Amino acid sequence: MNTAPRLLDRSRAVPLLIGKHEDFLIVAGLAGAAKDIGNLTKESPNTFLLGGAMGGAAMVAAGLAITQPDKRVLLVTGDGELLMALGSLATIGAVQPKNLAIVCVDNECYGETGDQPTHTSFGIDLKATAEACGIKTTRLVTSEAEMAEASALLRQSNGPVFVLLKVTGAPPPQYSRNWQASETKTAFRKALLGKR
Amino acid sequence: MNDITAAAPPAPVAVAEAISGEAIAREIADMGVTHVITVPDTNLKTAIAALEKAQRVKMLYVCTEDEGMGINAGLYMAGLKPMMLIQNNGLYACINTLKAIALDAQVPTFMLIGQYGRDVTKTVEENRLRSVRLLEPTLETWGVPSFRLEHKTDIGNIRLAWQKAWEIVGPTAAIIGAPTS
Repeated sequence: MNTAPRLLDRSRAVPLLIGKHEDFLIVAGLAGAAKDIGNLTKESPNTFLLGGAMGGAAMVAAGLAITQPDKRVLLVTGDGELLMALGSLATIGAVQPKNLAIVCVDNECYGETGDQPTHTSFGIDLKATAEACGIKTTRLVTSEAEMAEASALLRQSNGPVFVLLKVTGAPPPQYSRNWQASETKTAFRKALLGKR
Repeated sequence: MNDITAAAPPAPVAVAEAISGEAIAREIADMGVTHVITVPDTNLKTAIAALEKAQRVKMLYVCTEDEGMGINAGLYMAGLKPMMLIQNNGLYACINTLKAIALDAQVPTFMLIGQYGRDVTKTVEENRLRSVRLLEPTLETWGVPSFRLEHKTDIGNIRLAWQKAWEIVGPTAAIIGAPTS
């Protein structure tokens, strides 16, 4: 069980943890994670935000990581989304993409729909789940003092990395995203591959 | 008095015939597919075995079809040419991801789908199981082009469906009507 304190505000904590976002190809899950990353990157072409495919972000990131081994791929997702696709952690553990880092922004609730509690609010431990799925390098971040080491780990680890970022229930930053998924996908591919 | 020389009733004639798993695997590799992403299907087990044996295409086993849709998109966004191998029930399991990733984000998503549970002596429309009967109407509802493979001579429909996915930059399906041999 994970009963870590939740003191960090995601609006400050996510940018602090990620640092220079250009270091990564970033895939973000829907809702809060998309707003965290959209606000941080302004949807620069190294960013792909999912919408309406709850649970899908982890595998998009895994696919990128498998085929772009020289790039660092960062998945930013939420506890609600990850709970919907726990099998994704098992698949990542089985494939072991060396260049994939995962940040789960855990606010213990479905913030987008009115703060209903997720299972992590009852102590379900996503860090332990990641470890059980074969992701050997994991961190629990509950304070700013732990940010620097975790931020470096996102960039340096030789294998999949999982960082559980415990945050308060404060809302994510306001950000109005591009809902045309085909446009953002095309921009991403063009930046990465030079083609649509 | 019974006529013991009378012929037994004729066996039901198959409407869909078995297509060789090796032929399917060969066609997939020849098309230039880089990865086959699969939640395995019983009806396609010999095709999966042939793909594994030939080692011309990378196999990726995932836990759910939703995962498959996601990783297919990730591979495509990174410049590769993946496809999915699933069964009819798997298609139903991933409709939201089909909508949000393959359709909305416009990702070429070729699905080779086995008609699990089909009585091959009946047409699709005459089959009792809704998982068999409703596959094509479901795809049609979402505007996903589909191609049937009912006979050995239909093998070229795999390539047609694959090419269509790249042409429309979206999802398509090739439906294998009978268990592969």
